[in-house]
Amino acid sequence: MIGVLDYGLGNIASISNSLNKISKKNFFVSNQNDFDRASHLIIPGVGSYLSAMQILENKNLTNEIKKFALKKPILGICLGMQILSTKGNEFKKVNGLDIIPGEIVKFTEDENPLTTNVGWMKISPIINHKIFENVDFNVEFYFDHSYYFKPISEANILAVSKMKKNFCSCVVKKNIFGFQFHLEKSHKNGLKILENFCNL
Amino acid sequence: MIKRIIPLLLYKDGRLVKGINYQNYRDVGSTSSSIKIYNNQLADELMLINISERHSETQLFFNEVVKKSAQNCFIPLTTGGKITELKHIEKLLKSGSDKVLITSKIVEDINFLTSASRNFGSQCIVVGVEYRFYNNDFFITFNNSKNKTDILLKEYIKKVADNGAGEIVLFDIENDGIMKGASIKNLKDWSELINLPIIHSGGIGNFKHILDIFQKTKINGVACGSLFNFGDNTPIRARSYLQNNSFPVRTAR
Repeated sequence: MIGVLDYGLGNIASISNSLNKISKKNFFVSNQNDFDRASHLIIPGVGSYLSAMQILENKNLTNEIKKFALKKPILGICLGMQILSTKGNEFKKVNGLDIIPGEIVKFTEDENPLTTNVGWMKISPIINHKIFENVDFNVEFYFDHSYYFKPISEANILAVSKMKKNFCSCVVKKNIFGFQFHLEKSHKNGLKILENFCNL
Repeated sequence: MIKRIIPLLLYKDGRLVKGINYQNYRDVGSTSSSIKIYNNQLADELMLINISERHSETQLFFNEVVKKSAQNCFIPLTTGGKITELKHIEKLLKSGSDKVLITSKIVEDINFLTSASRNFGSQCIVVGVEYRFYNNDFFITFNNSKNKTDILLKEYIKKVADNGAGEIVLFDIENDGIMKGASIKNLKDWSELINLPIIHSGGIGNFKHILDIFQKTKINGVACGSLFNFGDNTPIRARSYLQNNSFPVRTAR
């Protein structure tokens, strides 16, 4: 069964609705005992880096996520992707889960004239991964963020997207995936990636 | 960045409605089936606002409406109306919303915006800004324009941008439901005040109105009620029109 991490923030119902749509049984993971029941873990993505990490630590969930990462697939979406990194900079410097080495940085004016990137945008795969099987790269995905993931190793860049310059929009490290855009809100194409993840 | 066309759905006492100047509402359909249709028409995004007046149509009831509607919504959904506490935001997100629209509460208490964006992330907080022209300038109104203020629109736009707004929706109350287009000159000025995405709502009556705004201003999206409610218009046709006029749109298929 697919576990959707419920830490009090995030559009968890949207994720659950999407999983129901592709007929994948799912449940909310909200405490330490729930992790064993999950075959895959999805970390959803609305909130700020600071509040997300504080809540995960207060609920003693960070170690559980790290343990899970050693054996089963994890998918982070938007903020859920960002907290996979080593550290964030939203409001102040905050340590992340440090599962994929890298830092979360704000768009500079040179990269994006608006402070937030909201709307539909394409992605270009860097790695030909099976999570992208039957995905149409001519179709856009829905983004809503003002920070992005800067991985230390280029080997972790799964796909990029283009503002004024390219930025990393998908990361991967073995069984761990992070997507900056909202798969669950990117119509058929997003649901396809979600389905591919659940089939890993 | 690709500009967005956003169907605007007003929920009032159990049904979707559309009025003129936020009065004289007409019934335009059921919430869950409308959302399902817009989803299938590949709308860029949807905005659903609770303007109920009946006492029974409380936040709790609206959450249930959102929950039911969101089951068939695989595009971004912004919901709002009557948000006065942080827990209202949490409930709407838990019901299947992706972003929330907050309007009146922020006019009364700017700190509410700051704490909302600290808690839920600014990308999730869409600030509604109602305005009207009186005393020789544009001023902020709230509570579906029932209350007037002496706060200048230009000042307020900058203020909410500085206090954690992720996006701003400008509600042109006087043009609401009129379908005769928007003031390009004003929208151009206001959209250049800040570097946040700004959405315009009010007065859109045809696709040319949308094209004009997109071509001539930095407005990032338009929210349309009457355009899609009355007549044969769909988000698909709106996009085709823009594309035929060489304006970049989503590939959506």
